[in-house]
Amino acid sequence: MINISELSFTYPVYSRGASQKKKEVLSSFSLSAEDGERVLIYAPPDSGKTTLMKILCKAIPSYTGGTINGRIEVDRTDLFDVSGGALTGIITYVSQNPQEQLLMNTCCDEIAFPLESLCIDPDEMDKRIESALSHWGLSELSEVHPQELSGGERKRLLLAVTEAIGAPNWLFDEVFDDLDINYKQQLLNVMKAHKGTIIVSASRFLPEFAGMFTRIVSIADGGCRNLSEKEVMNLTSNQMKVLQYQRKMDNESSSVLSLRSAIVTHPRKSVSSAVPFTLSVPSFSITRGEIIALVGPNGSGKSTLSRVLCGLDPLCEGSLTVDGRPMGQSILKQNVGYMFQNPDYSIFLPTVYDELTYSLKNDTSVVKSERDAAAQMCADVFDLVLDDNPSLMSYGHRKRLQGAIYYLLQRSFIIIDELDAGITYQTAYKIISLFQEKGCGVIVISHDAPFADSVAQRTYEISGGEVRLRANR
Amino acid sequence: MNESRPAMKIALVSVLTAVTVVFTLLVRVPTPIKGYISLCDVVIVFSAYLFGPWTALLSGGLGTGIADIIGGYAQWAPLSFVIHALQGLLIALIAHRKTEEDGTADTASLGAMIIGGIIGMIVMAGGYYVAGGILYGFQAALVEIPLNLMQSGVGVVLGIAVAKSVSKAYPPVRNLYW
Amino acid sequence: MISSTYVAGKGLIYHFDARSKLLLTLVLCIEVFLPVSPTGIYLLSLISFLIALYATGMKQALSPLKTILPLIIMMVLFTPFTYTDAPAAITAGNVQLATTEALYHLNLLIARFIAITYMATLFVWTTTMSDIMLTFQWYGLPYSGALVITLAFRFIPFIADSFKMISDAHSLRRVSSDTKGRRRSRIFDILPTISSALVFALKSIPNLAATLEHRGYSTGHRRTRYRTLRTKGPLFTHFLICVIIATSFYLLFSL
Repeated sequence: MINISELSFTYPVYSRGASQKKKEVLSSFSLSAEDGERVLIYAPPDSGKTTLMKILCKAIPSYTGGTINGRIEVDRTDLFDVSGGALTGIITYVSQNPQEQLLMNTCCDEIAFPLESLCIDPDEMDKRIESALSHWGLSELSEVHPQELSGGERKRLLLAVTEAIGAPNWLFDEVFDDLDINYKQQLLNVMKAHKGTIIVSASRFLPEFAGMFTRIVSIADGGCRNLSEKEVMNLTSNQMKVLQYQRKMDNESSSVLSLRSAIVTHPRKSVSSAVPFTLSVPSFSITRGEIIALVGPNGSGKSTLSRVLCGLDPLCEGSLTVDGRPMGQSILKQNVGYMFQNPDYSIFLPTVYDELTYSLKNDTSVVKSERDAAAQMCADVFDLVLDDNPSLMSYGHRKRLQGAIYYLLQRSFIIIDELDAGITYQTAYKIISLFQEKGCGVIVISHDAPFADSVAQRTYEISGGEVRLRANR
Repeated sequence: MNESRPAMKIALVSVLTAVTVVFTLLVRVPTPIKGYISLCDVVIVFSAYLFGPWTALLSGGLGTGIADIIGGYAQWAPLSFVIHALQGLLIALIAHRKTEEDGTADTASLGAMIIGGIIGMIVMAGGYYVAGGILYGFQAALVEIPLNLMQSGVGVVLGIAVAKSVSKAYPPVRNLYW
Repeated sequence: MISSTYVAGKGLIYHFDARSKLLLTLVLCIEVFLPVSPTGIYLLSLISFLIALYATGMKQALSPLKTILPLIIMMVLFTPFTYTDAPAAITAGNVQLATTEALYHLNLLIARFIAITYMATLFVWTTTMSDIMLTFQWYGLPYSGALVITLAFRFIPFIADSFKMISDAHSLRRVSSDTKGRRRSRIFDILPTISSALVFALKSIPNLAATLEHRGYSTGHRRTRYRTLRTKGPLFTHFLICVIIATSFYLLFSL
């Protein structure tokens, strides 16, 4: 049973000046869920779902700071009276990013750690660990380091931990993301059989969710709003729009990047098999100003191919050309940008302004006023504030900043990895069309097929170790 | 940092230990004597400037010790632990971060950072000289003094730059101090 | 990045209790610095090498030798300058290359160094990470200390992988590879990558702390143990073997 009443929360402000406004993430949020209830919090990214869940397991504000008001009771325990450690057996949170919740060096130790805290008897512990591992298909991996697992396996490991603890209250944050279809179904069955309270957050309404939840709510302006399943369906269908092309193709500047009869191998050996991963690409091409999609299941080699296209990894066999001229890795890096899924890899400066002008500073032909104008223009198009601190911005903002950085770098081609994960479709469409209007050739990588279809003119599909052009929609 | 939160201290030390190990092992320039020179000093100096004496002592010592074991120099691990722990501790005692009354935090003055860094260099190079002297003769150990001074000197220069830029780029560092 | 030091293999050494193995390793490492004959030390090295050879194979067993070879060369080059007052042992024409005393000391230094290298390496190869942690705890390391080391090993491959991605991301952000503009010193080129990597690592600290607490960690709180040190036969026997080896080595080879 979870009882939240009049909850308000504001993150701390770090900058000395008042440039960063204090914004309430949650304001007067109330929600109560009895035992046996399954509540879906359906809200766009960056609306406070994760913050709410982390407040419920006491990660916030204990470890982030911030101002909190209101009252929360979990199974009649006042959350503000106890320490986080006292809640282990009462409530379990599964994060959307499993990396931040894995602590140990093997899968079985990972499950054992909370059980040790709960002083479970070693024999009982063995039984629970074994059954949780086999239920989530991890028995073979019980002595494997979590860093060697795939994204889906890490999620399953966290679910195995959750099952082994057996707490009555579960918080699942975007938990369906990396699971394949069988385990999605298994999780839904487990949830149906669970007697306690479950709160699930999602920014996409999956078809499997129909009829699953006893209640659906949304976070609107920090407060809680009830939704019916029908309203949710309507909202979902409205989000997807087909991107309108404004092709401003001046023929002389349009160039073609193409890859022919190529073999791409993963430089590092994969964990499960000793044979290096290979992907064959009979024919792949993209013209400037065009948007194409690259789709395929997790682990099929989308990133491996992208790394070759932008010159990070060498091509094993075949030819990679721009306008018929073969391209070496260092020239490719100057022509093809790659927006990693994680925007934090390249963020390191104190302000958005510094990040945007950083690369321009090395170019002596650009004077300061030009740089400033370019940064301001870019901030306006990407809806950013120049004084903000990048590492403290929301995920959606960091993703836009990452886009803005590449926008200024003037690359002919840009590969955008899993753009739609963690930001709204609206923002994703905006970033893609900005690049396209500029005359960039855009490669959109996604495992969300409807989204990919709605943006791309052509779609390449990876299956069975081969990249093929899919027949037109 | 909130003193009643042991989990935060554990997390701070473990993550910085891991960072020290990675920086020690990822950038390795082989040298004739002490195996290799590495960027471990950058992280030790950085930790000392920003996160206080205990953190620098533990993460510097554990990080270099673990790196020695992973890198195949297990016999050096106890010595590295003591030398780098002492290096981190002394730098941090001389040039640790100050927390002002309004809650904002700033690195120590450049002068203090340089003095701390130089003392760290002396401790590190001197420590390895003494240890090396006992293990394989003082003549041979003399050769590595300039190498160690160079490695720790690079560490101090980069460490100062990184401490300044990271404390601006990620303001919540002010919550992390032990 | 490989972050485990354990090498799976065969032999009795894997069944030797980790606590007595650690004690024996430490005691023998100290004993080689006592006045003992170089022959004994070489014998110790040879035995350690043979155990490593049997346990892990030739390639693995030779690897420590490669890491210390440069150092041994330096010893050969420099030790003669330290001891010049004794009768000459090796001469080239009229030039005295090394004295008898120098050769004696050189021999001793090399023997010691090989011995401690092999003994320390053998210990970390044949003892699992969790056994090492449990051993340290048995000798008095607090649980939180062992936890820090375990967590560090959890984060080492994570940070190594992230570091690789971060340096890739930065290489793509560079405007042009050192063709235009001032060429700055290369040592500062690595600064953005280092800063990103450090910010990235620091960001994981609050999450890690929160997860530790969420999984029930707190100081002074009682915990049960999933892993325990399991020993074949009584622990006393293992320690007895340890004491017998250590004393007999000293008695046989002390000068």
